[in-house]
Amino acid sequence: MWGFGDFSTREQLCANCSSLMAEEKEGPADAAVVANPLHDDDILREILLRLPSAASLAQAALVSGRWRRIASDSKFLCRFRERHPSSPLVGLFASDDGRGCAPWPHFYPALSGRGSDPDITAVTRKGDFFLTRFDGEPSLRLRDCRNGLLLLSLEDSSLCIYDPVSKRRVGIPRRPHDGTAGSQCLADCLLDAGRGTGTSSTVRQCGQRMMPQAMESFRVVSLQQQSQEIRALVYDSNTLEWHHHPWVSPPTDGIKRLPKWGTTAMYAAGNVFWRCAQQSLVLVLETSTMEFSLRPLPPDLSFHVPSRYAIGEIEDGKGCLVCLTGLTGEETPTLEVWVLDTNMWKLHSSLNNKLWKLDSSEKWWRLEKKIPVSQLLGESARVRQVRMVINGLALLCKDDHDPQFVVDLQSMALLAKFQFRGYPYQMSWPPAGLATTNSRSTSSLEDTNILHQFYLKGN
Amino acid sequence: MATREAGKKMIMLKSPDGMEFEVEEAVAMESQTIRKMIEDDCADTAILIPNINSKILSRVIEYCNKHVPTTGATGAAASDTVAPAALAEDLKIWDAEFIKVNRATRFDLIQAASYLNIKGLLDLTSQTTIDTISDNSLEEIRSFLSTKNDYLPEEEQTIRRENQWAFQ
Repeated sequence: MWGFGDFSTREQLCANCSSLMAEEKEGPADAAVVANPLHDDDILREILLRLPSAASLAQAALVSGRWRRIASDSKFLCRFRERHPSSPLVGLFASDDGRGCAPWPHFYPALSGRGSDPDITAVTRKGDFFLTRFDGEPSLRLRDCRNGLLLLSLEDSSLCIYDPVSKRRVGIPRRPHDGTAGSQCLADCLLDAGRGTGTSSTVRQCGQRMMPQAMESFRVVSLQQQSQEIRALVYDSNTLEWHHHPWVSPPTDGIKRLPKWGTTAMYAAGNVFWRCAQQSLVLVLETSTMEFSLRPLPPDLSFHVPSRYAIGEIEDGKGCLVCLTGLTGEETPTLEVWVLDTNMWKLHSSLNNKLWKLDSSEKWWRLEKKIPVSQLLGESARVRQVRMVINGLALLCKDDHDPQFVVDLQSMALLAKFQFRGYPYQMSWPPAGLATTNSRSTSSLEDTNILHQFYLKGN
Repeated sequence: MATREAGKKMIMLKSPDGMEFEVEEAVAMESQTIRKMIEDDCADTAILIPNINSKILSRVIEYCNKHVPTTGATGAAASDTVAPAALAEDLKIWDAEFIKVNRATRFDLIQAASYLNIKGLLDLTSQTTIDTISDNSLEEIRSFLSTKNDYLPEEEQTIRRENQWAFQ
């Protein structure tokens, strides 16, 4: 909301323009007489709002306590995010050596291209992207990477969350043994704190969007498989406990094989998705209810090759499907972005799951953008796969061993090209130093809590 | 540039040092603050703009005059002859000239733009400050912008430890 032109200002101006020229009121208008406009909170707020990236904002917040207080106010952060919906891309963590083997997570910085932001360069240089805190952990593996946080698995199969920028680490206890023999852990997904899971009061709304929270508020969803049954194990940072959901047989209407769980989990708007061999359906785990269902893809899109599309978030809490069409024949290869209408989606899932029909997908998916691949990547580039959509980025490539293109879905611009496969690393939003603070006092309190958690659970 | 035509509604703006400026309503409405007053029927007679002296107010009006959309009530006639891109380029050059002012004037313009809520002018006037913030180290920002570091020593120590990446 704009601080200017609202009541105090307008009342005063109105009083002046009417014949009731009352004596000058004391009040906020007097503040405008200061010599340095940066001493006025409203003006400073407007200027900070215009900084080029979250990295610059995080740095500016260190100038003084007053600047930090303004920059970490949740209303201000909402407005900043509206102006800067994309988190800056810092680089890529390779999680796959191309032979299906997961290596130690190596980091490759995004080479600074046009108008590179010096604050992002500073992040790259000063952050612990070589994961030196994990030296002597040869079996360290990257399980997921989201919003500036890494979900890592350690030798004893415990997990931890690590922020290479602030170098904070939060340990997660090992998944409890329940005597089930032969069960296999397939995928670990790092998700925002849940909506509608009883923890909603800790999740801040930002208009229609969710404000992602940093390290102290997250969930990890692990999937286990035992013959044809699967179940979800959820670790919630609010309860500090793992919760087992019952074993279920996922809906298999027409599906002969279960999806490859481990490699293809995708996350958007509170749901985890897996591509299926069945071309027009996608398998969904709704994390608010932990129920599986099969859902239709956008109408008229049928993917004989499931790798032609991926699902993720285009902005905070807003799901989308990115796909390549026109790859055969004389057609023009095109990148399409379909947005998921989660309200419609929820409405349908609150009815009986069995009631949906394929044609209802028209109500869920809306084509938002469409662009010829040649316009996006240049005439010579060839891509056949959408590997991943995450936090406003899409990763495209031709083949498993070919370079990956990172595309910003907001601006529809090519951001970087990497030789390796893995997770794009973006600066966290809100920046680590500014997360979850409304005032200085709560900030230091929460910082203490995080440190407390760190010493309690980390090692 | 808009010329004064019969039938166009004019508004009188007064600076606190007694100068009066007659401007077209459309030009004055580039300011969201004034627009709100006009829409709320608060602006029958002259509007006194407190805290903005005549020198700064005249520059603000100059800016609004240049930036008011040329396609007025009569339709798109004026801009048809000039391509929009050329027009935007022209505006950019004009803006660059406009902002060649000393630091004190720039600060006054920032305040005026913020007080009158003129988005484009605030974008333009605050750019130098934004560049200063995003291109310099913390100590430089503090000294260039005359901002005090009001952190307590132990507070600063904690912040430095947690945000090492930002200290160049």
